[in-house]
Amino acid sequence: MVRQLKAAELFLSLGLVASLAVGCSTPEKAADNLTVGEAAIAEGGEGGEGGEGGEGGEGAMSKSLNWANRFDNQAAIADFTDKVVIPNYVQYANRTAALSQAIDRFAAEPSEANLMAARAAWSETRISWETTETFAFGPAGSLGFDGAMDSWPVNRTDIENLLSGEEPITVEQVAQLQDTEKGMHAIEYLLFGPEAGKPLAEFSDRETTFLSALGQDLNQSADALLASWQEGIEGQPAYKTVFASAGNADNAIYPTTAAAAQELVSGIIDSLTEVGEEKLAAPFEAQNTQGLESRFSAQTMNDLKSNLQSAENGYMGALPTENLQAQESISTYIAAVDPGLDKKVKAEFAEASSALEAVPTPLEQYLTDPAAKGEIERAIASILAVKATLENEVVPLI
Amino acid sequence: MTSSRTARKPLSYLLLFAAACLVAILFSIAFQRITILPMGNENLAGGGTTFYNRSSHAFGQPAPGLNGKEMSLHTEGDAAFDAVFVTAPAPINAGLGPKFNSSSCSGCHIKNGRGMPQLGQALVRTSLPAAIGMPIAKTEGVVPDPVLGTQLQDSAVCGEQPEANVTISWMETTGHYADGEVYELRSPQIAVTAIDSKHSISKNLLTSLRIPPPVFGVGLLEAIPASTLEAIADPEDKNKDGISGRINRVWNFETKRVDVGRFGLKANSATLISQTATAYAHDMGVANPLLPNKDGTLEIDQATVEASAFYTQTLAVPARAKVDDPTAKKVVQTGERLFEQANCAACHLGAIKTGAATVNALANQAIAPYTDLLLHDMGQGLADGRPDFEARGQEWRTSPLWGLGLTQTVLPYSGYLHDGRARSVEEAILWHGGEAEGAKQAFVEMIKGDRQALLKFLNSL
Repeated sequence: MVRQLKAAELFLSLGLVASLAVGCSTPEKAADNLTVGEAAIAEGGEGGEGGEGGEGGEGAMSKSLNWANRFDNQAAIADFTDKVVIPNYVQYANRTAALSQAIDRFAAEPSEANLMAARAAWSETRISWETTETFAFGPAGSLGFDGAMDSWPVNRTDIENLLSGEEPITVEQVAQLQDTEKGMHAIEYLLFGPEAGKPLAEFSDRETTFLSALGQDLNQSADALLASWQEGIEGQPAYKTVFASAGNADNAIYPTTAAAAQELVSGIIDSLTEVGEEKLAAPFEAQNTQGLESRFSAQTMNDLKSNLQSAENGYMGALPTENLQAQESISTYIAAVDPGLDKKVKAEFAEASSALEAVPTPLEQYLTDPAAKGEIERAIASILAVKATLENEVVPLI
Repeated sequence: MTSSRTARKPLSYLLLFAAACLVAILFSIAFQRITILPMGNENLAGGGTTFYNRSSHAFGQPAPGLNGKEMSLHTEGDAAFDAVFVTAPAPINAGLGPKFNSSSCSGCHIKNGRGMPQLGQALVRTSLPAAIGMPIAKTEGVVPDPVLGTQLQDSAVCGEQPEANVTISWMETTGHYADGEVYELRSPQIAVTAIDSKHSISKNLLTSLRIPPPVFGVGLLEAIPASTLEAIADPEDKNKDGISGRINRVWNFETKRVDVGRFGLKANSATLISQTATAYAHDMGVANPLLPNKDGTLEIDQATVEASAFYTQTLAVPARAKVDDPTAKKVVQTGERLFEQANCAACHLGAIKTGAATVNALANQAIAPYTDLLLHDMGQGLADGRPDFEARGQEWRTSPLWGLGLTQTVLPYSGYLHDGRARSVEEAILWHGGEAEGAKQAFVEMIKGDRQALLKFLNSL
């Protein structure tokens, strides 16, 4: 009897496998029955996977998100643009200007104090940039600003070759360089050295000249990015208008207000994924500090905290560093529908922040330290917890 | 369990399997009769691998239905696709160049979308006309130029020169609709000049500007059986509808033989692995097992090529925009009807089925890619005059239209058509010629409201 049962099971499972091989329409029928919001493959049981046994046991199947397409608060989108996006890009552009000036002062007078000031200005610039992560859509990608300012890793071989060459270094020439030879990480490499803490005596004139040109080039890109949002460049309309007018009849980019809210929430989720799965978790699992993004300055933890802050700013419609708070936001929208959920998200953001705060720094030193393992694991888990809540509970309301 | 018992099993399993297959085939035939591609839900463009996201993240989602193992390979591939290469020696990602177009896959395929027609995102393909003593290279499908090869690498690592200087300028033209409304079109003029006297530019150089096409949904396109394409193809136009449709036959670097071409703007790549390997070698100057350096050395391993290809293979297709407003919905439905009436759907096929696939989620899906993957004569206006394997100078592969409405949501300002000349979908339609001349004329003759409805439909994809 037992043996017969097994044979029957085997027959069924082989049949399912065979049916897939010859093109039986079972899976597509299953898909057809789903509606858009649930455009996921049903988990388990479908499509003959079960019969194969063991496959995919290490995790649930990937699935689509269940957006409701009901978010209709255009004011929250406009408010986010005015209170977070534009002020953050203004702040970033100002900080790149300050960095450029600090580098110039250091180039003119290479003192310990001026070096420290230039390094501090780099850190401020970096923190401001990383808080824009949640709204990295629009011109930042397509007009190449993201690549020009934040390519990683740095092309050290090329930079060293440029430094050992004789060609004059100018801003115009730096603007033509490959993305991996300029931008924030090239400045970081030159300003901090490969091991965070390059002594003053090691700076050559050519290095400070190069730094100066890099600083000016970064500032120009930051200004152009801001202009693309504020006024529009290259004959294009201001991108703030495109985003803030989501849902207007003539808006083909964001035909509905919900589409813009989904842009924002997807950006929040993406920022959390970057920290929780890529920038922290991947180097941690590999136990390899080479993968830490700002390792020349030993300030990768600032990147992570700023990315997390960026996600929270997106949810709250806030830019705390400039004391700005939108009247309406994703948070207020959720609070109106499900106050408990809004509280939960806020509490989880707070927990993620405090967990990340508890990780000893510099991360470059503690990533491979067994004593810090517990803190790092808690940070990763708490960041992924916010992400899960957003995906599973907030998304179905947006 | 004893060894004698296990020894007897294979035969009975075989019989069982044969019986199961028979049952499956019978079932399959029965089902086929009842369900001839019913797009039960019009929004599920990618069948079960459809992902609902109408934001700039739309082209970067993992296909629903991947199991744990596939999902982790997808994530690994995502990192490989983003990996920025640098000049050797370097602790990570060494091997860029020495000549190249971009330093990463995602450097051109930004957010996996269509790029802009400017260097750094777009590139120029090059070749010479075939002639006696100038044979077509078997693996490249063209006669490589002695200086530029098959593709102009416009960048180089420090200390090296790019292959040539390139400038792109635009020529504007105007036309008008039947109702008198005027439109403006532009086309690129490519000027290639020598970097120095030793690298002079061939007088009869053929050039073709290309923007990066979107990379999602390609796993589904790869899983469309070749027999389906053979069945749709009509190289002699036997049905006399003025539309031929030919399969390109191209070199497959993976299997080292000639295969059906599916990817690239002239369908000059056979498989995703083959396409990915050539992109690493030609676009980034990164040697890999399928296209090693001349001395046999490699800069990435096979696993990296496969992970990158797997990432694109398993990207979800965005669901069509959900239109709730009844008036707006009606306009979109009108537009869809006009799309069919104008015969756009003859090449931009709205319903096709995938067959077997290595990834279960991609197999046997009813999909709406709006392409037939075939080559069509698109007329003189769009011709690049540069044959590529069996594709002629006026032929282009039908571009998939799924996700079309998200093009500029993913990448604002990006262009349409092979070289990004069209600044809008409307301009792209107006460039159609050759076999698509009739469809274009139908559009030109529509009243404005109908033209707008057609565009609304395309924007809903």
